[in-house]
Formats: sequence, structure tokens, C-alpha cells
Amino acid sequence: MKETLFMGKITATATHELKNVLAIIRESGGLMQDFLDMVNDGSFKYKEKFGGILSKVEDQVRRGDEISTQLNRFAHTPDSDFTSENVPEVIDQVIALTQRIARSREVSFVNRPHQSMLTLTCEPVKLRMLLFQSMELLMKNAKRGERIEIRSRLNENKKTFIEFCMESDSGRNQSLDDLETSGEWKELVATAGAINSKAGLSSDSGILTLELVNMDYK
Amino acid sequence: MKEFKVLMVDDEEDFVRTLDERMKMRNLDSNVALSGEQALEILEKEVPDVMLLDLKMPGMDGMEVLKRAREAFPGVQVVMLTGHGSEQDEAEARRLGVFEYLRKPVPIENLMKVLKAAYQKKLQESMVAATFAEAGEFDTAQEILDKSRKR
Repeated sequence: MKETLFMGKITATATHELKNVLAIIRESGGLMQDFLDMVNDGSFKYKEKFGGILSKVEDQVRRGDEISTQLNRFAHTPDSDFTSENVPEVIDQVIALTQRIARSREVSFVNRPHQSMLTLTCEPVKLRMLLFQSMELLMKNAKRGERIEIRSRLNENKKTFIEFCMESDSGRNQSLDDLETSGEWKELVATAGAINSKAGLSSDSGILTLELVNMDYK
Repeated sequence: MKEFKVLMVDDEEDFVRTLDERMKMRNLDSNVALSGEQALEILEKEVPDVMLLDLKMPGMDGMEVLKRAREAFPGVQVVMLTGHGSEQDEAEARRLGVFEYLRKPVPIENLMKVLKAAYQKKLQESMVAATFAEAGEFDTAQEILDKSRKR
């Protein structure tokens, strides 16, 4: 736990610095755009090209800022052993931070919560680990171009369900049944068990389900 | 003729100097302080209409500057601009009377809108206070300024 706190603290500090770097790049790009806007007599033949480049800089700063923000929140995760989390927001965070892996495997995730506010009391690091393990397992077994929907909802017994739905049978490399014997699946089940939750696979419908319960930490 | 005076307080020099230049290009009379202490020194000499204040700075942080500025210079409207603030920080800043609490990055157009709105509020409050003062109702004028300080 001390090690996790240490990693989180250093990462959080670094993301603050990254945000400052991005703010300087953004304002410098903005200032260049201001000067560019002052040239209206056609004397600068590269005006349009420069404008396009500055627009790309702005887009990338926005992208970097989004990643830094999510990484900063992620780095603060170990600050509490137990906390109340909004599940759809946590899913957004894990999706944002694993974009690169998903892109390299040509897989995309879509967060489709049943309700925008879905509160769960849990161990925040383990919840993120469980989500990541589920996503990683499916990514490894998805075909190129696969889109995986993540649906979250609360049932009548106040249990939170998160379903990872693969788009189609043809999108899969192998039957989900085969996954149940893999070491990764066993690790995922162990993580779920550590927070009193369950994980299940439905091969027919291509759905991985997590059933999560509020933890009593008093 | 410049529109109004803005004091920008941030320890990230490259950031605040670039923003300063952009403000000047938008016809604002802007000035820069690189620390909380420096901001208070400038306030003693020349009171701006609006102060754009970073939260996390070495030495005196933005919250302390906000507290002191609201006490000693209630006419100055303060806008917080931070990359690091938590929800608790925002609640505390609002309790201390900040005009607006913004998170970096903010597009320049949005920032200009907020600064202009802050300046409008400052104008309204000082006009109302001046009207009462002219009518000899100094207590009421003071009350208006006190309310503005507590907001």
C-alpha cells in the first residue's frame, strides 16, 4: 500500500507539471494565432498553413490535457482505502487511460451507462484494476475493429452490474468459454472476489459481466 | 484608452507573460505578479479592477492572497484560474468571495468574457456605493462594500 501511495503521489505531482507545460504551449500557440490574425493584407502567403498547424497544436494540447486530468485523478486513487465512486466516471477514466492499448489492438470501447450517476462504495484501486483486467482480457480476444460497449446499471437489489458487450460473434477470435480456463481470467476473478464481487462470462451473447456490491467499511 | 486593469498572479512565468501579452493585445491594462507576496505589494501601490489569481504557488498561495485582497481591497474582483484545484478548494474560494473559479486551460475568449463580467460587477458595486456616499450615507456605502467583501 505504501508503494501504491508513493507511485500515486509522484504521478500526481508530475501531472500537475504536465498541465503547466500544456498551458504554456496553449497560450504560446494562442499568441501566435493572435499575431497571425493581424495579417489581413495577404502579405503572408503561408497564413492558412500556419493556421492549420496551430489548430493541430490546440487539438493536441486538449488531448494531452484530458489525459493529464484523468491521470491526475487516477494517481489520487490510492489516497483513500474506501471511497464512494461514480461508476460511469471511473469507466470513462479507465477508457481514457488505456486508449493507447486499445488503439494498438484496433479495438474501441464505448461507455453506455444506464444512468449518469451510479454510486458505489468500494476500494478504488481494485475497482479500476478489475475494469482494466476485464478490458484487457476482451481486447486480447477481440478481432480488429471490434467495438465493445460497457453498460452499467443498478438492479433492484442495489447491486451494480457492469456488462462488457462485444458487438458480434464474428468480432471474436475465440469463444469466451475458452477464456474461463486462462490465467488472466483467474486473476480477474480473484480481483473481483477481493472486493466481494463476482465476474461471469456468457459465451453465447459475448458478454462479460461484473456484479459489484457496496462494501461496508465502517 | 485601455478597457480596465487586470493583475495576473502566477508563478509560471512563461505562462503568465504570454497571457499578459494576449491581454494587452485585447486592449486590457494588464500587469503581472509572480508570487502572492508580489501581488500584495502591487495591490498596495496600484489597485486593479480585476485580479486573475493562480491557486498553488510557492510561498503565499492563492487562497491566502484572495483572503487578504478581499479584506483590504474589497473593490477588486478576483477570478481564480488554476490547474490543480479540488472541489473543496473551489468551495473555499467561493466562500471567500471569488467572482469566478476557472480551471486551466480556458480558451482566451471565455477568459475575456469572465474578466469583463467581473469588471462590470466591480463597476456596478462602486457606482452604487458612490451614490450613497455622495448622498452622505457613508454607512450604507460601507455596508455595500462589506457585502461585496463577504460575497
